[in-house]
Amino acid sequence: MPVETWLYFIIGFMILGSIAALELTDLLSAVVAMGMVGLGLAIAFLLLQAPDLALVQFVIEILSVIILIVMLRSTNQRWEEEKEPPAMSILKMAFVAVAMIASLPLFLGLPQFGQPLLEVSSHYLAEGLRETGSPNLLTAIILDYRVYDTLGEAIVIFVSVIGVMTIFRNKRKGGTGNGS
Amino acid sequence: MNFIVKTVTRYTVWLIMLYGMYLVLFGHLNPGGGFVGGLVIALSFIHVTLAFGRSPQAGLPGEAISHNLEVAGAYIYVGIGVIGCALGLPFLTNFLGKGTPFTLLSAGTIPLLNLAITLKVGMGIYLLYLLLVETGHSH
Repeated sequence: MPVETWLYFIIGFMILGSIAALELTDLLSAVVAMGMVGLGLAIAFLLLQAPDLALVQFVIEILSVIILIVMLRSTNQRWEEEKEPPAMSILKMAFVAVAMIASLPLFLGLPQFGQPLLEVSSHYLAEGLRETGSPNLLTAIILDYRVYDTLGEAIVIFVSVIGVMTIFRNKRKGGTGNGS
Repeated sequence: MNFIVKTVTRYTVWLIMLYGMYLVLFGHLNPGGGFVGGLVIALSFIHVTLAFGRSPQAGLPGEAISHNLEVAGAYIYVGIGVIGCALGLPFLTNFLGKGTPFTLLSAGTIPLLNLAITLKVGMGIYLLYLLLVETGHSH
């Protein structure tokens, strides 16, 4: 079977998983369904021959499922209590459908799959190994051509860790916060 | 956790950590790199934490040590860039020799930057996990 058939199958699987994650009232099952969506995305990356992305997606998905399950266990809340009225979800679905139809011309105007508009990647493919000495071109791009971007990502992670540390240290020490 | 989980953890966690180190060290040759390698190493730490709890016998870094290692990763990354500046090249230039392609010691500063990102991401994610879980349990 061609890759496109498998991709349609996996994307349908992911859509089903996300609907299940939204609709289940059991929060643990919803977390598992969300993990299913992420692992489907990782398999889709593998089929599109992007092993670096697939690795990152697998690992991030496992990590987020672990953190969500541990948080769920520590809050002792297993079931979703409030449900929105059905009229509201029908209204939201109608809005999403209208937005999809309105954005259809945009998707039809995209360039063909595998024929991007930007030609800079062809230079990386042709000259990357000679200029950087790294056979893994993705590493060559993120740590040589686009090394400032990677510095920016590192700063983003650094700032988020510092933010979480500030919030949780205050909460643990002070006791004046509403959580403790 | 029960006996089965602890035993399985004891036999598998070093394989996970070894795979993370492989991803980091061979990141410029194979799919992988500092980001995903650091995440796999952090997951091996989280694996031990989940199975054995935060007992001192587990020998895992605490919050202070992992924060220091994370900051050290950031300093190494920026330091490599500043060394390039000191040699009269633009910031974060690949100033080392390229070496023979497809060998472990090649591609100039790319493996060093991979190591810095490993410390940064791996220890950062592990620290986030520790903070979130510890505070969740204390209530």
